[in-house]
Amino acid sequence: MEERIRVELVSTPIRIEDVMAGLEDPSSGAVTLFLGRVRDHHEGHEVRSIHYQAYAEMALPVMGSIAEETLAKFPVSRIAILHRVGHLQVGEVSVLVAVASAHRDEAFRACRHGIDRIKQDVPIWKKEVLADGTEEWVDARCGGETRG
Amino acid sequence: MSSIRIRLFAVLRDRFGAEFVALDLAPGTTARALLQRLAVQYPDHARHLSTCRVAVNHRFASDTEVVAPEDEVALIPPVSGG
Repeated sequence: MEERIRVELVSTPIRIEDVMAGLEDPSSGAVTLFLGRVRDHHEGHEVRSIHYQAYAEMALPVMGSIAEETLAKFPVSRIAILHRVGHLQVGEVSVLVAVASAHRDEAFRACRHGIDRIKQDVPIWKKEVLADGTEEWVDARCGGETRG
Repeated sequence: MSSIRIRLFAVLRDRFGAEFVALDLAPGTTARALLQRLAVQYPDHARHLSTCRVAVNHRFASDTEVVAPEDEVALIPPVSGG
């Protein structure tokens, strides 16, 4: 199981090509990649940057169990889940979910499942730095954040 | 009665101005009771506390899970990763 899963919290830019190289697998004809990036707006506000804070001791095992759950639920061979922490500028990649499987349908569905579960349960929080200099924690229950 | 240090994150860490909050812990206190006790003790933060889940030893706890003094307890505001 272990080599089929890669889960990391990182404080430096996510190296997408390195992660994709780790998903190489002769039996997998399909690879899907989801990237979440810092967006320049949220609920009508202009966003300059975002601080990501994680409860690392819990976030990592939760990410690991989401990866295991995804492998159990879908016929996929490998999965990588990486999340950035710290201060990110607009356009930087904050989260990556990548899945390798034999065929495309399960690769798409497993990737979607992975990112949806991350947004439900991984204890990571974003604090937006707005154009007017104010900073606000995003409350996922209070707005469009569920649209991701 | 023993005391427990509860880890705080995100909006709660900012509101409390601390990474931990201490609470006296009566034997048999459940995760739900712990949140209710905090809300009574810190009414200014009650609205935010009411949106939190409780994590015990790095897992989400059910409302009825009993918290022990040696457990690592954390309050988890609505998550917003991704």
